[in-house]
Amino acid sequence: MSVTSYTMKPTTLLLALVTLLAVQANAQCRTFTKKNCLPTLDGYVQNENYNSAVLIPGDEAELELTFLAGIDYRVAVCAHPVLGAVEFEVLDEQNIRVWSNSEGADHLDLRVENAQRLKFKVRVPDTDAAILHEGCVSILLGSKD
Amino acid sequence: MARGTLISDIHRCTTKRAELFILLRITLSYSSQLRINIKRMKKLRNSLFLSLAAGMIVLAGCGGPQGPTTSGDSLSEGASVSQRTKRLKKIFRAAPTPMETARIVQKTGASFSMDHLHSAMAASNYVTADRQAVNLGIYGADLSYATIFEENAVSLTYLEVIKSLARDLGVGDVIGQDMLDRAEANRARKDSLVAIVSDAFFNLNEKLKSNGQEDLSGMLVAAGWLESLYLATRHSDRANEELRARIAEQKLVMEDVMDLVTSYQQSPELQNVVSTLQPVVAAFEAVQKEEASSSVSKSGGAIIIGGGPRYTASEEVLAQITDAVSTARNQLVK
Repeated sequence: MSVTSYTMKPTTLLLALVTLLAVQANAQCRTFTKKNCLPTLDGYVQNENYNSAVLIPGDEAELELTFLAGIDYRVAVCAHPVLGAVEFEVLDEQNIRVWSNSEGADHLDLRVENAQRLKFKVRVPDTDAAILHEGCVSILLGSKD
Repeated sequence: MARGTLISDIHRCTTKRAELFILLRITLSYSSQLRINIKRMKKLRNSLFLSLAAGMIVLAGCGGPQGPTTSGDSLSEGASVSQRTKRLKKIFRAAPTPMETARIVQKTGASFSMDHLHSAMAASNYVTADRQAVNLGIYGADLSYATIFEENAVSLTYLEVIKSLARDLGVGDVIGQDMLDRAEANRARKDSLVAIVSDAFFNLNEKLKSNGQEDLSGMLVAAGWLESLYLATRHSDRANEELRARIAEQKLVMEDVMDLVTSYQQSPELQNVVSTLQPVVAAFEAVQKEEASSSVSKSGGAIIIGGGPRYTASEEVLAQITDAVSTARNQLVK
């Protein structure tokens, strides 16, 4: 019994450390989002949803959301500069691409005539670097009348 | 200031490295006595674990300032060296907010009625976390409606109620007295109030998620959506065509909300909320969807997406939705 508890302690410690690092990364992501991303929604009222994740090169993120008619929206994709220029595109319900940030835009202003669900796909570019950096990526929504 | 921060970071890292070095020396001193006995080997394994753990702490603490920096940002804020190499696809789930629903309902010419809001006096009845989260969602939707319809005195009352419920739920720090003071100072400015309310609920959701209480966040979102639909359907018997269309379109929002809520770990309380919503889900099944392709045009810096599917509900279906929503809502506010 005493031997079991003796060997469990370091394992528990390591698990706690890994959890601590994950929590720390998410906390940094929240700070980054509030400080660096929310200003992109200037002039729009931010949606109540918080969509942020810590990603590495090659990762993808997707958000499907319904947009209501008669409201002006801004969708901002914000990534830590260490990840490079993230690509993002908008697909309609039939998976047809309706827009992409081929010119490097970090946000899209849009309006829909009928309520419809759109899909936002964000991709962090791959890298050949030996060391992979992870960084925060956020998809934020704002709206106004 | 930035330079001072950097110097103190280097100092901290140097100290941590010295600590790591001492730990490694202890480990090595054990390895030189490997032949002593099994008990010492167990100690060695423990020391290796501790050294590894200490190494991770040092890496976590020092990785940021020593890596490459970009745009003047330290990598410790929002970026660090990855602990993984396997690619992942992160799926975010979200739903339109009660504020958005209130906006489109107001545009149909619908009127505001204080009688349909949930009584502010009932807030003290909710003593468990799940009831508090559910009714934070309900009161949040009421607040959104009052704000959009510029019922400013009502907005301030409901903001007080929400502050009190948030405090009881243990997330009171996101709605402080300063927020209430700002709301009071801007009570005549709809845009400012809308921004303050949206900011409050953004922070509430974020706080609940960061506290590992996603199920409570799910309850808040689901109840908020249901209340916003409840308010929209109060006049459905004399609704104009536009309001009917807007209510029918809520089928899409319902799907977003259900996807979001069911993506969270299902606590018994969250399951209870999900099952309360099932009759509403069933009522929306009768809404007709007419497929159509989208067209895209540009106006100023924005894109306009035209076409897309259309949703319609007959009077009978609308009545069924209205009944189901009313029953579910009254169950949640008990």
